[in-house]
Amino acid sequence: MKRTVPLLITAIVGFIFVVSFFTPAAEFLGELAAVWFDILAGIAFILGGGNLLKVHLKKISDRQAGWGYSGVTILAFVATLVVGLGKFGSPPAPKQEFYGETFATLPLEALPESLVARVPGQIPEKENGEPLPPSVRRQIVQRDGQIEFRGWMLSNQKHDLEEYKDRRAWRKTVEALYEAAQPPEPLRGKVAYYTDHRALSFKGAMTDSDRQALLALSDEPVWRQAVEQLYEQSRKVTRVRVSWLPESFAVPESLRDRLRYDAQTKELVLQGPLSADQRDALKKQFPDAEPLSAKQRTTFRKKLESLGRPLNDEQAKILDRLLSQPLPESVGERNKLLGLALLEHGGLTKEQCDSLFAPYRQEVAWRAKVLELFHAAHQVKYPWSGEYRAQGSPFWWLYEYAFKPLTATMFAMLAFYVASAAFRAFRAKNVEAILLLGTAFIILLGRTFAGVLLTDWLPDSLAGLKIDNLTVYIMQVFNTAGNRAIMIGIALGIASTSLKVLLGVDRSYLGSGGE
Amino acid sequence: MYEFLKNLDRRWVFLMMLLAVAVPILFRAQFPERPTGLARAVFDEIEKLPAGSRVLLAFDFDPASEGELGPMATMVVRHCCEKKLKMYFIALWPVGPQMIDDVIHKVILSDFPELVYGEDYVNLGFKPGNEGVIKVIVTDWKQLYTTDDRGTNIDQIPMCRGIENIQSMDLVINVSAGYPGTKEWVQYAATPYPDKIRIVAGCTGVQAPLLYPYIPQQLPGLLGAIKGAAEYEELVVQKYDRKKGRQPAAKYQEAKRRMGPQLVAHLLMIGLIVLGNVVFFMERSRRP
Amino acid sequence: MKRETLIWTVVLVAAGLFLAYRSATNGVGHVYVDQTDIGWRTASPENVVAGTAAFSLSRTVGTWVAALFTLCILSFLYRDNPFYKFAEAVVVGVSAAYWMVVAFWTTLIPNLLGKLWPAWIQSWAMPGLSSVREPLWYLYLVPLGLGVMLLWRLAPKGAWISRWPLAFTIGAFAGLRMVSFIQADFLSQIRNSILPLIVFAENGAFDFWTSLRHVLIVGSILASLVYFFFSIEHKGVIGKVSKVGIWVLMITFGAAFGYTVMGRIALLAIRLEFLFHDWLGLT
Repeated sequence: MKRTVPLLITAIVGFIFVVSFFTPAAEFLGELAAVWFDILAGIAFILGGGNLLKVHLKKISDRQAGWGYSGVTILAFVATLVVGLGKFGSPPAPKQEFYGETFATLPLEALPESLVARVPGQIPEKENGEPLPPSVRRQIVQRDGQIEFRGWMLSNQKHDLEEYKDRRAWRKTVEALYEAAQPPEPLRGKVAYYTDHRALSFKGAMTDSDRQALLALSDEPVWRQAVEQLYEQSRKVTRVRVSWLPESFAVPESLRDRLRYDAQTKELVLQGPLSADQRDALKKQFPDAEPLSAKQRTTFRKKLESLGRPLNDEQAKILDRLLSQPLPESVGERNKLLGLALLEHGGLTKEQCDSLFAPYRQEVAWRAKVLELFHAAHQVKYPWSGEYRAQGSPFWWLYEYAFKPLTATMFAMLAFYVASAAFRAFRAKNVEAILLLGTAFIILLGRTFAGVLLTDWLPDSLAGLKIDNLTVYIMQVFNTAGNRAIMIGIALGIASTSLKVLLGVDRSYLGSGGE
Repeated sequence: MYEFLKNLDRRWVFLMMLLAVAVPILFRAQFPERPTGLARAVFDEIEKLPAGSRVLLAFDFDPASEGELGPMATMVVRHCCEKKLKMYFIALWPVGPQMIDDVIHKVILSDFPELVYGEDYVNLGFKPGNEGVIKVIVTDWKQLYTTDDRGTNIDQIPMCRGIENIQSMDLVINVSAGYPGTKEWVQYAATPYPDKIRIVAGCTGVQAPLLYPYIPQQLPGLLGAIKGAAEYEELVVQKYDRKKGRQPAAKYQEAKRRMGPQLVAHLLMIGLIVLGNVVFFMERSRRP
Repeated sequence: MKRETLIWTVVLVAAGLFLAYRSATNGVGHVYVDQTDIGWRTASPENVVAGTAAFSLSRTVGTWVAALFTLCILSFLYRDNPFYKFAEAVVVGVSAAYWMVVAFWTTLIPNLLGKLWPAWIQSWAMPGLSSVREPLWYLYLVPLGLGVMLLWRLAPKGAWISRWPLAFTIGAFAGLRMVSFIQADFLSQIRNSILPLIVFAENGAFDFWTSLRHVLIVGSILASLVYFFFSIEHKGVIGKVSKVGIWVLMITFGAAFGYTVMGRIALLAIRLEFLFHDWLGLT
């Protein structure tokens, strides 16, 4: 029994793959088995880790020779596992954070009755029996000749419904349902409901009139609680200290009511969250640099030279060229380009560099402050949704500065061993060995410039004897032939071994008797 | 001399190899590259694709083989960006996604910032299962890839909509270090679907000779080892940098830089083999 | 203390002090980062020069750690030593855990738990996942069960339970490979080997070189296959043909050796590039 069932499993699974290859109708079985196989392969990694722990812990407990190194292994293993599974230092996935919006938990079942939209119509059925798209499945229902939609329809849900059935009548119904399933006019564009996230969302900071409009939709306590939570959270005030404000600082239009600069405390004060677009608009406080006239360029150059040493001719040309043309860059970016070019073509003193790069440094510092405000004002929705190997996280650090150099160097050691083996073991004892070594020499020379140098002098009529061409010929004729023969032999071997395994003739993978 | 060579401590050989590779790196020795047929075939396969074509880039390697395959991965992505192809990244090796991240930062984010994630390129990440993964994605890739590597639902990624499987790809470019790799892609994707799936590949020096039997019917082009990478680099740089009158950036000349130490080390290898044989024949002649 | 150990200690301490001095004065081995919307990234050289890149202590320490690990592994070439053993122990632990973490986040969560309990997984790990269960979701209970059985291998008793998932894996491999190897490595290779032995160019003239090439390819394949056929004695004509087969195989192995050498050296080159460029700033 202990050995019969596994043998049966092997045979059945193997033959499923074979049959599904030849029988299109059974293809889905092969796919299913392949998906299960892939999942098991993933779990095998976990088995590997567990086995490592088991072996090394035993070594430590038995105090075997070298148990100290086992301790190091366990420590490295546990540290990597903890930071990797915990996703420490990994920022949440930007696409799912809904920047600029505040969430309050509200399950679909708790949505009030006033949020159910109805239009007359019939949900069509698909010939292949495919159900409605998952994005709308729980919110849409057919009742009494009407289609009901619970909640407010998002544009991606509308798109999925339209794609569901390519019929003009259905599209018209979807259009009508979409229009009916929208928030009341004063709230449109600000409020949304996300079914998968079980969240009522508000964009920006909720005003009192918004709050009243939302509360008017239902008296149910769950709804009211969610609205109040949203009201409080979305009006949270964030302050960030900013010692320097750009000269041309102007609050973007969309933030007029929510953002201000407090000159006394030197703080940017923001009510509510920032969306990604608002963040980018806030960053863009620096107008494009205007081209300078000849007189202005001369003044600029004199001021720069007074800080250090005079510019050479090439530097002067570069300065004239860059400052005289309109560039789609801010003053800071333009000065940075200028500074880098001048450094490359003659060098600058430290004071000259500081003077040129100062505006760029200020621009970068401003953008950093905007980012700080952006993150401080954001309500984190899914702290564990980020990439497990986000750059800068401890897991990434362990990969980049431990795993990568160690494994790469271990493999790099092979270069030394191949050299040592070549010196000690490669002997031209007979014809076969001479053939092997001769081919190796041709390949070693032909795949580098040495081969080209050695035989480039040969005339075109003897081009075939040039080492680089000879290399290609050897690879495409003899190497291909030899490897093809080996491949055919291996294929027959694999086929026969596989068949023996599938038919239960070869049972070695089950291990020896015993259990 | 004979006694010294006969009993030569292998550490002297190690030192010779170290110097043979280190000195050309320190002195930045570089040599011109002359592309050959297979590198040209890979270049032409990508070059002939019209803008907007879909390319599946499978990065099946890890840091241990980055020396050879890193430059290939970099240039292939650069070539696809220059041709404005839609890039779909996947990996069959657990560390493959790191390699994909590195190339995206090195090439796309720094030199092609106008490309939009989700519309021009997408990273679908790693799935375990080796050839089992290929077996599934040739018919239905959503069975395994429900989200991209960042957790975004695949149905919400514009460039993934309407794609059932990798037969929709116009080309598959595989950069592989071993198992699973090019051989598995040829066996499970190119051979069963010869009219639908076309594959070109870059592989390590160890693998390259073993893949020649597949050329050209099952594998139209192959970049073998660092030499193949250097030849392909030369082709891309010639078309997209030199012909436009600019010098290629250092990161697009990595393979060419590594060919410098290759030449010296190859000469050392030949020298060591010859020396070893000289010692052997001297020993034989001394035997009574 | 042995003389050799003393010499090595002095050399290493002197080198260490010199490097520390160079790092403090010249910024050797320092790493800088730029802030972007999606986090900190390695700084572009322009931003380092312009002074807007921030010094990253963790990445600088990391570069030094990576360089020291590289040297620890390379020290094995001289002799086995505790530094090498330490580095080896670290890589074993880190790589095993790395693969576990990767398998967990890329397969277990999205492809197993995400199919069985999508709403739960969506609520904390994968917000982009649809929280609606697919039809036939219960089929995923089978790999879950098999996975638990596989992990039973670690248990002190009842390790035989893990034979079932192992049998599944073996069966899958056998079934997959039997077909793919026959198709791609047997039939396709035979088809690819059927080449015209007498080739004419487009203008109708006999193309000698291509014909010779094809004759050589087909002849070499057949000769090599004859060598592998061990069911008859390699005597007489068969013996001579198999000898030619061995020669072809020797050329094949010579080519393989040449390419292998090329591969290995490139790996060493990138490591030395890291030490000279990223760490010491010499190139």
